[in-house]
Amino acid sequence: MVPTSHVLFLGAALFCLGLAIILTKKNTIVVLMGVELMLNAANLNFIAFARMHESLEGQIMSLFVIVLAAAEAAVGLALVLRVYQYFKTADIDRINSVRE
Amino acid sequence: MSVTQALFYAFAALTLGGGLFLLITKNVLYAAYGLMATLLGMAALYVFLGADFVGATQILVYVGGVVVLVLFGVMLTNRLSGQKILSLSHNRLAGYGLATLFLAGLGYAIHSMNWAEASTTPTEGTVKPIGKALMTDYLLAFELVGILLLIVLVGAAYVARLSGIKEKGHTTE
Repeated sequence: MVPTSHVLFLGAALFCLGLAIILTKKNTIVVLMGVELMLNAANLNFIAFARMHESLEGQIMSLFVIVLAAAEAAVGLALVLRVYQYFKTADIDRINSVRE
Repeated sequence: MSVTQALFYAFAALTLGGGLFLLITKNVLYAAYGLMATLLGMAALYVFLGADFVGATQILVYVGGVVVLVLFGVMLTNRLSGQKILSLSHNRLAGYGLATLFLAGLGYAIHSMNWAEASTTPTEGTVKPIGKALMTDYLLAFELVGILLLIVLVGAAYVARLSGIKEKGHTTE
């Protein structure tokens, strides 16, 4: 079987990839994709620990994380659409005013 | 190395490759496909780790729902037809450096821990116990998540509506 630490290494690597995407990308939608990547990395850790302890709690927690990530994606993309309709751009650097 | 182990590392490589592609590519549409590869690989890893129901949910919700939503977002926010949709980067050195440092820290922490040996007994299907647990121990959380999803979907539809939008520069003083 695959040792738990290898799964945790994979989760850490995915989390850091998501972090790098959030820090460097300019397009709002790509930043949201980075957030999804980080949430998935957390999920992988939950599943790995659930396997290590032979319990279901980690799996149930990761199910809730999946639901909340879907909710986050829906609201985030709705906000991006709204901001795009106003500013005519999805570039974070050019969205720099909070008043109409 | 057994076949399952080899398959596990293959799917791990697919997951990491999709993530790296997401980081490197400049085309937003390709980035969405990279995300899809990552999420599919992730679902396979869940199945290998004994979480078959979570893997199926991952495919249903992420690959079937979130990626489609992201694709819609890409197509609705980039209406320059015939022109490549680019996503440029900024603060590259600082961002990559910070992420690498964080990865090194996490890797050191994981490496220095003594993890218990994972169970080698193959698990039977998890659908039944998860359903029982959701209907007994986690009933309140389950219902609350349902209400939250309803509110979120109504709110997202309201926020993304088309009417009543002023464009920048066209506002009346």
